[in-house]
Amino acid sequence: MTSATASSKATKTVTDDDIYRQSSQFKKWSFTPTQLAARRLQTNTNGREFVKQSFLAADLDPAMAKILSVDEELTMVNYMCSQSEGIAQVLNLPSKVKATAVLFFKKFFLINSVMVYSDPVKVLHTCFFLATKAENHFFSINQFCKYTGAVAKDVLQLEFVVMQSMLFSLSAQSAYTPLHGFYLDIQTSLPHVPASTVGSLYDGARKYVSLSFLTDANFLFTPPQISLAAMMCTNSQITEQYLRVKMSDPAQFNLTTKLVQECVDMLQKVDKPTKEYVQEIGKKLRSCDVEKTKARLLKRKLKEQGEGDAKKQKLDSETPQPPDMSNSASTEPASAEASASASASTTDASAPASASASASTEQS
Amino acid sequence: MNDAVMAKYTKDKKVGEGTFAVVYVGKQVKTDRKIAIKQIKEGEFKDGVDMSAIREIKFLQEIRHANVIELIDVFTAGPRLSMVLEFLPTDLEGLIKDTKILFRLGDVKAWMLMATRGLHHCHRLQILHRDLKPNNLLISPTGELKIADFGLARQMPNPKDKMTPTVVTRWYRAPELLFGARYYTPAVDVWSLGLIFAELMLRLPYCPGEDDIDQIDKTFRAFGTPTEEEWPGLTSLPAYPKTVNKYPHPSVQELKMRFSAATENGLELFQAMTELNPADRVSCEEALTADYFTEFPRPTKLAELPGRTE
Repeated sequence: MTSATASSKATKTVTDDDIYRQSSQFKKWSFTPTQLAARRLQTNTNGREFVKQSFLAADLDPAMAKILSVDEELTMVNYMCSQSEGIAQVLNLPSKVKATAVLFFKKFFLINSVMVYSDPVKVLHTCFFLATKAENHFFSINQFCKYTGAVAKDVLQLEFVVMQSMLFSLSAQSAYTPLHGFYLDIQTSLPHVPASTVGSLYDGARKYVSLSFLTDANFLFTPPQISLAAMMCTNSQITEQYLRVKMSDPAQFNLTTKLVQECVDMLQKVDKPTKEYVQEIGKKLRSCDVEKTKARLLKRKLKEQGEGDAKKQKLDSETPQPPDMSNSASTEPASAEASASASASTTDASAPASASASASTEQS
Repeated sequence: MNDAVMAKYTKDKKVGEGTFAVVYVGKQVKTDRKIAIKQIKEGEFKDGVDMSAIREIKFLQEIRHANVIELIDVFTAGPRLSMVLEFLPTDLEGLIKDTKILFRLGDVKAWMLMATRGLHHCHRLQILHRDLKPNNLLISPTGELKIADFGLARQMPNPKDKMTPTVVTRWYRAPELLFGARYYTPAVDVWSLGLIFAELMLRLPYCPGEDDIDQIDKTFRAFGTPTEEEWPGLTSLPAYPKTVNKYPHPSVQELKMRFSAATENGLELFQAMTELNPADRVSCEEALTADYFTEFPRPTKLAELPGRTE
């Protein structure tokens, strides 16, 4: 290397921003709001088409399926994200691993419609299993299933599909890491602020970071922007002070605070859907599943045929509940919670049990 | 989506087989570019996709650097996962062992420069390689050196995260790992690079331990036995031996004898990369600014390096 090339190279310093722009998070998983909406619409259209084709292939009227809207799909996905806490707890996962799992899940359903993968619990389990590997927090498949109540076969079958849907980018950057960095840096940059204030700022901001997974923030903002927004939500006064100390250039300060404010607005209007609304979507979702619909039709037919004869009694005693209710293992919010907390009781009774129950009713 | 990716490549000939993968050469259909396909063996790992494959895919997706192997694509075929990698026909181990090839000072310097640049990029992305050895430094048809095999790599840990000390092939294992340290730094990779530097100069492994105990002895014999004063905390590391042979640190004179062709700046860099105490070891960034890289002779140009196939 000559000194001439050395000095011309020296003018091109690689910044943290350059490095971030090289990451798969930026290249593959960052969007403008318009791009994100277009992507969702495409996924929803694919789902709609998938349902239509699967009904036609089964000689059924596609109009029987109650198609989910883009918003309904998103509500379902975010609801499932809010249920992931239970799985993280039974596996005793650090927040970083949990964050990776949830980000995998969100990416999965940005690429795939819930109408195609109409059993989001299975996908969620697989995302968690893959995240534990990607983050070097390994469980054997047997351990994993024992704790979470997941079914090994389902998880292993879906693993490739999840990896493909991640576009094979298995590194997920969450806002926890930069938040910790800000927490450390604030103590040197603002030495007059009492440690207890910085501590509660950190704790409060962590809560907002975990809330951010229920929004589109990860697709629209960088991890440091999200952590600054989380800090802003917790203590705007200190966060602003900190930004002023770090950014002497007013233009940079203004741009940053403007972007961060957009994220703050997002974090402050997270509304959790009611259980009833999610159940309603779950019901629609089951109507999109051609296998479940076939089973339901068959059952109704049997019931009509058996009207008045002994068969009816027998069937009633076998399936005391209406078929679409007993089929609900996967998308029913209540059972999602149950599966998440399965290992607390270590009875393995919840998700897999009800899943196999629904399988057996389909065969009957 | 997946089939479309797969259709972009041909798989022509099997060229190698390791414990967890089979390697084929093929072509990118559209460009006629030669590529390698690393197909992960199925059934080796009952817990789904193999951890090494996950690590390799995860990290190579994030690294784009002239001196790190390029992951071009990934696809699945049935139950098997395949990585499409750039085609790198030669490795440094092969060159070192090929006694017909003469290494000039500039050749060694060019390889060390490329390896240090590649490693520097990994470290600035917070990635530890943890298995550097001549066998994992591959040479492209045009002579470029590329770091490969990220099957043991990991993200830089949080300060409190423990890591496993059983990483890196024995001959290139840093002393802190030999002593079972659960907390270590990118300095473990720099040590490996230092040992590769010695091997390039000598054409022989510098610390070829026969087992883990012998590795410690050979390391002390080569670099001197460190003391608690030189390396605070040393003797309380989990696997620090109860008794160690005391060897003196080699003098500059001694090193000049061992590496007769090396310049003083070269030896200085070598010593900085192989400081026993990891806290004193040079970082990649510092290594890149070493006088060794700017002094005469210059690093050999790619077109004149041994090992090119084009």
